[in-house]
Order: sequence, then structure tokens, then C-alpha cells
Amino acid sequence: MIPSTPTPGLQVRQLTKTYIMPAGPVEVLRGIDLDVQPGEAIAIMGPSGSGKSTFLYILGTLEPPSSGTVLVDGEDPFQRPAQDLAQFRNRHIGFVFQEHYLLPQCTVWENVLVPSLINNISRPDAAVRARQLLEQVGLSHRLHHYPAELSGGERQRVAMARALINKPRLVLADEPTGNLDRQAANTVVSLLLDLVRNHGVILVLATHSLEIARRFARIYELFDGQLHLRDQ
Amino acid sequence: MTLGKLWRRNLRYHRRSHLAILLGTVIGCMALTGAWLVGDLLRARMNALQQQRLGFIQYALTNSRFFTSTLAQRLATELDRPSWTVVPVVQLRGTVILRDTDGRILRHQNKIQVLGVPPEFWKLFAAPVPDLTGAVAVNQALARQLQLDQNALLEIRLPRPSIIPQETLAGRSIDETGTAWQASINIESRQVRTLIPAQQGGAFTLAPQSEEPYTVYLPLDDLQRRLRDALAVEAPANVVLVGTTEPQSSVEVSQLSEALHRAVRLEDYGLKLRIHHSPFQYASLETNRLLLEDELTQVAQDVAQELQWSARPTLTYLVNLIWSDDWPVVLSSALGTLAHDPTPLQAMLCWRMCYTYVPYLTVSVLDPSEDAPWGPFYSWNGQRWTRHLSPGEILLTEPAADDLWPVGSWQARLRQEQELPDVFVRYFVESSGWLLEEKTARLRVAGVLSWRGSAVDPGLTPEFPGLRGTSPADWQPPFPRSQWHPRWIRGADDLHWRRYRAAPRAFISAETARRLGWFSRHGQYTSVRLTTAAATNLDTTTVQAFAKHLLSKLDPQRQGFRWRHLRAEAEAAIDQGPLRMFRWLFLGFSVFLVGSALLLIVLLVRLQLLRRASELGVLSALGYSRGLLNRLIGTEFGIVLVLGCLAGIPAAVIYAWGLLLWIDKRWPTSVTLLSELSATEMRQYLLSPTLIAGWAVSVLAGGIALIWALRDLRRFSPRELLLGRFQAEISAAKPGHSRLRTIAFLLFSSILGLLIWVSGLRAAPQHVPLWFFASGGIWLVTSLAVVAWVLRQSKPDLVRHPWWLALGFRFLTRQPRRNFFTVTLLALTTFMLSAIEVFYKSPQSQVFAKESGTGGFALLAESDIPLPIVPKDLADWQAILGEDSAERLHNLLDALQRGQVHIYGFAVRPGEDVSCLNLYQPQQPRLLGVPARLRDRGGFRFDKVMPALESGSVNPWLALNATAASSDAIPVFADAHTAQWVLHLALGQTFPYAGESNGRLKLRLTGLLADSIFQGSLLISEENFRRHFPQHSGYAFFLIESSPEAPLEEITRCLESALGEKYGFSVRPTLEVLGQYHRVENLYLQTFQLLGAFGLILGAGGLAAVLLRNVYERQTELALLQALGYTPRMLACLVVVENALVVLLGFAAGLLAALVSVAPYLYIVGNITEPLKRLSIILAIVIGIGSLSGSVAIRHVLRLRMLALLRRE
Ligand SMILES: Nc1ncnc2c1ncn2[C@@H]1O[C@H](COP(=O)(O)OP(=O)(O)OP(=O)(O)O)[C@@H](O)[C@H]1O
Ligand SMILES: [Mg+2]
Repeated sequence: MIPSTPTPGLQVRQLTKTYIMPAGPVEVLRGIDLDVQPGEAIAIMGPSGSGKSTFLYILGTLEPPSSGTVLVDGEDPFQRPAQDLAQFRNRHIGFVFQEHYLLPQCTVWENVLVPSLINNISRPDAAVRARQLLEQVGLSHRLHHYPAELSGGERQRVAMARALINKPRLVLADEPTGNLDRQAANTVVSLLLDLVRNHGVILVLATHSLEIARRFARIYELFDGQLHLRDQ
Repeated sequence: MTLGKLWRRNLRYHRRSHLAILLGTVIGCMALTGAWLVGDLLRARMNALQQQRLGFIQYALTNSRFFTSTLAQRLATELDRPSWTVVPVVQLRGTVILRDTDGRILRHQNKIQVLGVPPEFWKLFAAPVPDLTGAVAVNQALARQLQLDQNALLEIRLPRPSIIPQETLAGRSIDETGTAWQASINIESRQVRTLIPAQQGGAFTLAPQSEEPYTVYLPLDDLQRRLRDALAVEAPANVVLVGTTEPQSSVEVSQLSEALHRAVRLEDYGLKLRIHHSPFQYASLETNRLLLEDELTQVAQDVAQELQWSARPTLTYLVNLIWSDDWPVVLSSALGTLAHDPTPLQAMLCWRMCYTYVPYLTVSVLDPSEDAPWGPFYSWNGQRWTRHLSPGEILLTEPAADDLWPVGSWQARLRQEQELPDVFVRYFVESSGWLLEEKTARLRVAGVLSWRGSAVDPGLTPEFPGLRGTSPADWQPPFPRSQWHPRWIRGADDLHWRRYRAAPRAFISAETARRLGWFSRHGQYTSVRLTTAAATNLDTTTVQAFAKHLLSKLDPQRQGFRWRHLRAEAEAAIDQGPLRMFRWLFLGFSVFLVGSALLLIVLLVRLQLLRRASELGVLSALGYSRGLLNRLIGTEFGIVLVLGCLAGIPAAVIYAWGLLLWIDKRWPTSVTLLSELSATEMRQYLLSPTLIAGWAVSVLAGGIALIWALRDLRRFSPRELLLGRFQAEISAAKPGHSRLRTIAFLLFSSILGLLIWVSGLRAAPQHVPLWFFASGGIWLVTSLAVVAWVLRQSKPDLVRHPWWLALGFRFLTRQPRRNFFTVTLLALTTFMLSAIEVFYKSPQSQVFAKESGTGGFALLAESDIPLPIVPKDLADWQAILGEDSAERLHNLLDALQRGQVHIYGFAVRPGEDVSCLNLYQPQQPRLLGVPARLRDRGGFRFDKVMPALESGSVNPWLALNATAASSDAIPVFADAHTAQWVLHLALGQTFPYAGESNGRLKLRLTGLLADSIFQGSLLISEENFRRHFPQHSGYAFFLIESSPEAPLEEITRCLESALGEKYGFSVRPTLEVLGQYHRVENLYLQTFQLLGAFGLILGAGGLAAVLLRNVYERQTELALLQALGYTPRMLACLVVVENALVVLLGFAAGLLAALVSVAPYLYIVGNITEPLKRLSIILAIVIGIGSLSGSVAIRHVLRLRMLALLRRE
């Protein structure tokens, strides 16, 4: 076979996910196809339990798919040996969750640095980058505060900076605004979109809020385990 | 920011949880290392005590008989090691008496070690030589006991030692007044000039003993002078100590044995070769024991054969009375008993009227038909005697015949070839009672020998110390005064004695002697007569050559000499002693504690992980691999673990130290384990490899626990982690998950438990701890499996049960895994506490209960010098105290009568204490002979008696006399504690016991007494005792029965003042003795329970941690309940119910396991209520602790605002 030049961006083909439960198999995803170019941001909506989180976790290699492929810049991470998945995740993927999941024992700045500790990005570079990112999310005055001393929106912004510290290709955000009020949610999403645009990464965001989804170029809806492009 | 910094951040952030883990680790490491260290320290301390006891002494040469002390010099010469010191010593037991100025006894102390030592003795301890001329030294222990100061005046009483086997006629040692069984040697007031500290020989004894000995030191030559007469040995000694100050120099036992063989002389064996010139030249081999052992006789004959000498073993016997015809007896019985105590009138009558008896004459066994050199013998009429003597015949000599019949009359009869009338001989036979058994035999007169030539031979009678003076009336035969009649002795006897000494006046054949019972078990002959073939040229040199040859043929060991390697013995006594058991048990219980600590660590680690689940989840999402997370978390906990173990080491040292100090303090007798520990010894222990090993093992065990606790990390799902839980946690909560497996497991473990339980029943006593812990372990696992099942399965119906129970149970079963951990922790603790609790012995308060440890006896007494009889009435008291003491006796008898006192005397073979008070393994336990009276009376409680005997008879004491048909073993009783923990013997087992003169006896354990005052000794029946230990005559151990209202103190005082001085008699209340045993036994248990208490702390810690976590996790749940109308008090109630359920389950599991595994070793089932009562107190405490932590937890929750909690969801 002639090696094809890797296509940049995210390609998902016939992705399925089935949980085997004692009560019987639960088919959550039944054949998802998706293409996203670098620099693009998409939103995924869908009723609760439709499988949005599951889809994001699979994209983020936190869970393996039952079948189908996921290509990030032409590479299928699930082809890697299991122990390399963590490395892949660390290098190429950034997560923002509904909960911020900041380490309470570390300062804001340190929290941003946590993903960089385990790869060979030079430390000073990472430190500088963390500072820049925090500046971009408007928290340069909070560098040495502990998460407990921040508001919910601020925490979420720290989590965003943390997601970008390793220059990932893919940022996955699972209802990042779920715990925030409208104002804060809008700020967070704006920041997120800015960051994505500036850093040229792919953003996949799951949300229940149409208002937030509207700010994205493409909106998908997930139901019956299928992804449907929503016409705007 | 680095990973290292992240660790530090983590450690700091979770410091409270880490601190808890650290504490668990410290306790675990402390328990493990400490247990080890306690054993080590005890051992080291006991070794140091042994070092102190022995000084530079390595070996001791002992002999139950005395030998000449010059043997020591000869040994040194033969050994030829200038750096070695060889010291002869006399070692005896005695009593010391301290009087006030008026001569009244102030204090006295029996069971004293009296040492006669030469100046070189002190060299063995590198101590200054005290000046003892005309004075004594005492060791500090005795000085303390008697509150002596220097210059105090001490009197010393020693039982007069005897070298002659006591049951032989000549062997009875009787005091000058003939009223005491064993005479004592009194050493009148001596000034105490020196106090000997323990390090300078003050602790010296031959065998290790826990208590400091009480010792009096006398100059060797001084003591020897006192003993010389009694022993017929010139400078007697009974021990030779061999030692060196040079640590590198060593000597083998074989070298010593060879040196001894070369150095030993006949006199060391108590033998001598006496040369006689008349009636011909011969030598006689005699012993100061009077009877030559048959083996010696044989060796002498063999040597004679080799050297072509002629040898004749000879027995000469003392006959009390010989008379012709029986009419004088008829006459005398009409007048009164001749035999017992004829009045002077009766004796005179017999003598004057009849002339028909000869008193106290010697009779020899020989063959009168022999040729030269042993013959020839001539008949009275000058004819050569050629005939062998037939059985039942006696051959008289002229002097004897003249005494029996009117001179001339017997010759006339013989000339007419008429037979002479039969004669009667009356003589003593060997017997063990106070009064000798006297027998009479009728013998046919074979003829009369002419009193010349070979017939006149004083050499036939061996030298005997009692035969001296100018008349036989001066003799001091070892007979009770009432059986010795010097008044019978006539002028003719005096004349004979003066001219011919104790030359025999009649002869019988060996067969006749056998029939008369003259041959003793200890030796048939009194001498072996030896001569060269020609019976000439027998001078000292030839005799010496014979002696040399004889010596080369004699084995010193067979003659009672024994080399003892005292150092090795001490080591063995320590290593095989109760210490070993204690170490085992302590380590075993500590393992349970360590297990608890590990469990707690696992629990705490898991709880912390659970709290940090989302942290781990996000790190994982951020690309931290599993391996990295494992390392991150592992290192974090590892640091805590290593630090905890490091802190555990000093804790272990303090703990071990404190424990020993505590034991020291509470030990009832004066044994000091630690107080005299020197700094260098200290340092040595503190740098011991034990600490490093303990640390390493703790880290290892902790590491394994950690890996186990972290194993859930291996199969986490980041998604679950992010949700704040572990997959394992969820799957474990699934009900019905492995019912079959549980049932199979329960089946398997109960069968295994049953097997172990049954084998534990028949296990050898020294393996009991192993079986006990195995059984305890398996039953714990089994009962915990049941608990686990209950936790998983039961879901009480919300409708049918009260809300608090149903909800409480729901709470309980919601987190089955962690609650199970707590239950296990508590079960372990309960197991430890209750397994020990049931063995506790509560003090006995009822002295007079017959079926109890005291047997209903209020007082117990011991005497240094055995009482010949157990006094019952005035005559008995007079017999043992002398008739002149009538005045004193009346008071005594009065007092005794008022108290209605009965005294039971036991024969005693001295030996080592086998009670729990002895920290060393006894080699030769003390043996008591139980009198038939006690057997008939019954009493005491029995744990077990041999089943065959139990069924038929109601009185278990009868088992002492039962002899199993199949074996020749002597039935013996022991205290159950002694059998189990000290002797390691099971019921029915036989074991060897050193009997008399190198003999080995077989004893069979046929009965176990429960918790009795006999813990220090073994018991056999008096009949068996007398048969097998005849040289220990009399009674030296007493139980005193009195009516409950008797004035015990007065009785004690009376008895001690009457018997204390003469017999070294001291009285103690039985309750005190029993209490001492209990204190020691309970002390052991308390040390084990200390471990249980630590376990309790761990359990409570675990309980609190789990409760806090549970409450924390359920904040919203509780908030909801509150929103639904539950009051805070109801919520608290729920928490308390849950906690109580955990405690009860843990307690039940632990108690069940403990009771089941303890059951086979539970001696006293009747006493179970007492321990149960204490156990329920412990239960209450545990529930209290649980409730306290529960209420803390609930208060914590109720502080949070409920609505805030609810809104957060
Ligand atoms: N580990 C699992 N095991 C079994 N079923 C699971 C598992 N994780 C998710 N599911 C199921 O998959 C389905 C999709 O869940 P998912 O969390 O992806 O939904 P969602 O769209 O994110 O919902 P929401 O908007 O409420 O967050 C649900 O029905 C859920 O029950
Ligand atoms: Mg979701």
C-alpha cells in the first residue's frame, strides 16, 4: 500500500460504542462520522444520556471505541500500545470538564503547569507559556492563588489554560459552562473560541445550551447514537 | 513546579490523612520490632545474669558423693593449663539463724546455699579475696533478706551429709541424741565480715535460677573440718569449679574427662585398700559407703584375675542378738519385750540365768572349707574343716559357743556327735521407716570353729566410723535410740572388742545370707579381700600397683563424677525455658497487632485514594499514564511508610524498654531484668540487627499492604475516577455477586478450622502456641467471611423493621468493603483481648475450699532438714524435738490443738522449681512424695486425669498409685500450667528423670492439677518415692490443715519457733503462694493484652476514619433526610446504630474465633463468667469509642448548612 499523506484535522469513521451491562448491551454510539479541520470549532448538543460525554471521552482516548476509527492528524491513537495513549493525550489533547478538577493543593499557575511536568517541553518555556495563557484568560493577577480562592468562572478559565499548555491539536470541552451563570458562561466560551482560533486547534464542545452552541460555526446534534448536522 | 514539588504539595495537602497512615505505620513497626526486641532484650538480660552468676567459670565437676579436695590440685596438674583455675568447693544447703543479744531467734532463713570456698574461688570472679578466718561472708541478697549488716552474728545449720546410701543400715545418718533422722552440723555464731555483691560471686549457683540465691561463704578448710567426721573423707569437697580469665582459651569436656581419669585416686571414689598382716597377708578393698557396689566388686575381681591375684568378696553383717533355743524369748515375753526395750532387770535375768545370748556380733559370709591362703579353718577339736556350709546353717566360733551354752556342755554334746540346738539370729533389714525393721531367723548350727588361724580375722569387718570407743557400748550405730540397746552388752563383749575388734564370731554361706536378706540392692559385699597367689610380699608397692590397675579400669562417670559445662547449660536453660514460649506467644500476638496495623494502613490509603479519585482522574485525562500515576501515588505513600517505620524504631525501643521495666516492677520475686543493665550492654542492644531487621520487615510488610491498597489504581476508568469513585468500589457493591464462592469458602475454612482445632487438642505442648494461632487465624477468617456475607446480603425491610435499624443497616451495607475493614480490625482486637482474657486467674479467696487450688490447706511449710516423722501427738513431738523439750511442747500442742491442726508431710527430692516463677528451663524438677493420708483425704482440683483411671474411681489421687500393666513408668502428677508451659508434657506422656546413683527412672504424667499450690513440683506417691528415692528420707514439705476459725498466725509462729531452729522449718500461707503464681501468669497475660490495647487503638482509629468518610460522603444524603424532616438527633442515632452494628459484628467475629481456638486449652471452664464480664466492659468501651467518633462525625456534618449542600448537587 502506498502511504498516503496524512490529512490534518480530526476524522471519525463509523465510530460505535456499546457498554456490556448485566442487563444487556447498551448501544450508546452507533456509527458516527465526523471531519473537523484544524482551527475549526464545533458544538455537540443532545438530550441527556445521548452519549455526548461518551463521544468526547473516546475522542480524548480516555475510553476505547467498540469499533470504528478516530484519526487525529491522520493518526489513529488507538493503534498505539495502551501505555502510549497517555502520552498521546498529554501531547495532543486538552480537556475542559464541567467540573474544573483543579488540584486544590497547587496554585493557579502550578495547576496550569501540571500537564507539562511529564513531557520534555523545557520547563522555563512551559512556565512562560503558562503565564501567557493565564494572561490571555485574564488571570495574570491570580497566578499564586489557590483554586479555593477563585470563583467558579475563574476556575474554569484556569482549566482552559491548563488544557492548552501543551499546545494540543484537539481541545475537548464537556459542558464547560454547566456550572456557570450566563455572563460567566459567555466569557468562558468567548475565551475558548479565541484561544482555539489563536492557537489553531480543533475544539469540540458539548453543551445543552443553544445560546452557546450558536456561537459555533457548526452544530451537531447527537441522538439515537448518530451525529446530525443542525442547520442554522 | 516539578513532580517532586507535586509530591510535597500532595503530602502537605493530605497531611492529616497521611499522619493517620504514619501513625498506623509507627504502631505496626513498633509492635513488630518491639516484640522482637523484647525477646532479644530478655534473652540478653538473662545472658548477662548468667554471666554474672558464673563469672569466669566454665565447667563444674560434680559428684553426689564427696571426694577429697586435693583432687582439684591433681586435676590442675593433669590438665596442665596454667591459665585455668581449678577450685574445690563444698556446696550444701542449710539454714541461718540470727539471734538477738538474749539468744532469742530474731530471724532465720532456710534454703541457704552454704559454700565452703578456698581463696582461689574469688579469682573466678575477679573479686578481692575476703578475709574469712573465723568469720563468714554473705551475699547481698541474704544480707538484704535478713537485714544484716557487717559484724552481725550468724549461726549456720547444715544437714549432716551422708555418703552412705541412707536406706542401708549403716547409711542412716542420725544425730547424737538419736532422735533426729538427719543430724545437723551446727556452726555457732560467726561474724559476718564481708558482703559479697552479685558481680563478685554473690550470684553463684550451679544451676540457673530466677531468684537471687541466698549464700553464706565459709573458708573451705573450716567447713571441711566440720564434715570430716560425718563423711570419713579427709578433706571433703563435692564440687570442682574450672574456669579461666582468658577468653580465647578453651578446654573440651573430653580433655577434662581424660585429666580426671588420670588424676583420680581410690579415695576420691571413697575406696581404700587396707593391708592386713594377720592371720595372713592380704589387702581388703573397702568403701566408706560400707557396701561395695556390685560393679566395683566385679571390677576388683577382674583386675585380680588379670594380675593373677586371688580375690574373695566378703560380706560382714551386724547381728543384734543371737541366742540358742527359744525359751529365753518365751521368758522375756512373759516379762516384757526383750527385743524392744528390756529393762535392766530383764537383761540381767537373761544374762545371769541363761548366758544364752550374744549381743551385737558380726557375722561374715565365707567358705570355711577353703585352702590357703584363705584357709584353712579348723574345727574346735582341731580337725580341718572341709565341708561347704549349707543353706540355713551357721558356723559358730568358740567364743560364740561359749557365750551361748555353758562352757563344756556344747563340747560334750558335739563329742557325743549330738547336734547343737538351733540358734536364733535377730537383725535389722533395710527399711525406709523411722524405726528399723527387725527380723529373726532360726539357723542350724553346723559346728564350732576353733578360735585361731584364719577364723580370727578382724579384717573381715570393714572400718566404720561409728565403731569406736573402748566398749561396744560406745559405738554410735545409726539406729534410732529406741532400737539401740547398749545395756545388753556384757563384759565378755567388751573383752572381745578390745582384743579382736569386730572380728566375726560366726560364719554363714552366701546362700544363707541371701535368704536372710542381707544382700542389699546397693551392693552385696562389704569388701573384696585380695592377695597375691602366694599371699606373701604384700607391701605398699604391690598394693599400689593393684590400685593403679584398678583405677585404670574404673570409669569416673560411672562412679558419679559428672562434668557439667555450666555455660552451655545456662544457655540451654535460657533458650529452652519459658522465655521461648513467651517469645513465641508475644510474637504471635504481635503478628495480630501488626496485621491490624497493616489493615488500618490499607483502609486509610484506600479512603484517601477515594477522596482523591477525581484528582487522579483529571491527571489521567491530562495524559499522566497509569505507570506514572502509580509511581506518583506509590512514592507519596512510600515516603510516609518509610518515615513511619523510621519513627517506629525508636518507638519500638521505648516500647520494649517500658514493657520490660513494667514486667520487672510487677514480678513478685526479686528478679531484676533491667535495672542493672550497663551502658555498654545497652548500646549493644540498641545497635542490634534486630532493629534493622524489624525496620526492613515492617517496610516490606507495609509495602505489600500499600501495593494491595493501590491495586485498584491498576484498573481504574478515568471516567469513574472523575466521578469520584473507583470501579472496584462499584462492582463490590453489587449484590449476589458470588454466593457460591462464599459458601464454598466457608465450607473449606470451617473444615480446615476443625482439622486444626482437633490436631491442636493432641498437639505436643510446646507446639500449642502455633496451633492456637493457626486455629485462631482460620476461625477469624471464617467468621469474617460470614460477616462479609451478611454485609453484602442483608437488606432489612424498610417497612417491617424500625426505621433506625433498617436505615442503619442500609448505611452499613452501602459501603460493605470499608465497613468490612473496620469489622476485621475490631475482630482482630477482640480476638487478642478475649483469647487472653479467659486465661486470667482471679485470686482465690476461699482458702478452705477443699476442691480448690489450696486443697483446703491454709498453710504450707518446708524444712531444710527432713522431719523423721510427721508429728501427731506428744510422743511424736518428743521424738523429733527431744524429751527435754516437754515444757515447750505443751504450749505448742495446746495451740495446735486449739486450731485443730493436721499436718500432712511429703517426702522431698530436692530439685528445681518448675513453677512459672522460674525463668529457666529446669533440668531436674523437685519431686514430692504424696502421703497415703492425703490421697485418702482427697482435695484439689484436677484439670485432667488419665481417662482409664477417671472412669472407675471418684478420687483422682488414686491414679498416683495405679501402675499401668504395660509400662514400668511411675505415675506422676503435675500442675497443668507446669506441664504445659514449663515441662511441655502432655497427659499420658512418659519422660525420664534422674534417679539415684546414675539410674534413670521413667515417669508418666497421669494427672494434671488445675491451678494449684503444687505448681513448683512434681508429685508421686510416697510408696513410689520411698522405693525409688530411698536416700531422701523423712518429710520436708508440709501442708497444714486447720479449722477455719483457727488462729493461723499463732499456729505459724508456734511451728516456726518449735521447728525453725532445728529443722529450718518455715511456714507460708497457701494463698500467698498461689497468689504469687497468679501474679506471674497474669503478668504474662497482661503483656499480651497490652498488645490488644494497641489493637484497640488501631481499631478505634479505623472506625473513626471510616465513619468520618462515610458521613462526609453522605452529606447530601443526610441533608436530604434533614430536609425530609429527620431531626439531627435522629441522624446521629443512625450513625450510632451503624457504628454499633460494625462494632458488634467485629466483636462477635473476634470473640467466636477466640473462644473456639482457646477451648482446647481452657482448663477451668467454670470460671468463664468472670472473663465474660470483663469482656463486655471492653465491648462497651469499643462501642463508646465508636459512638464518640460517630458523634464527632455527625457534628461535623451538622455544622454544614444543609441547604447549601443540597443546592450544590
Ligand atoms: N461506564 C458506563 N457503563 C455503562 N453505561 C454507561 C457508562 N457510561 C455511560 N453509560 C451510558 O451511556 C449513555 C450515555 O451517557 P453519557 O454520559 O455519554 O450521556 P450524555 O449525553 O453526556 O448525558 P448528559 O447530557 O446528561 O451529560 C447513558 O445512557 C449512560 O447510562
Ligand atoms: Mg455528559
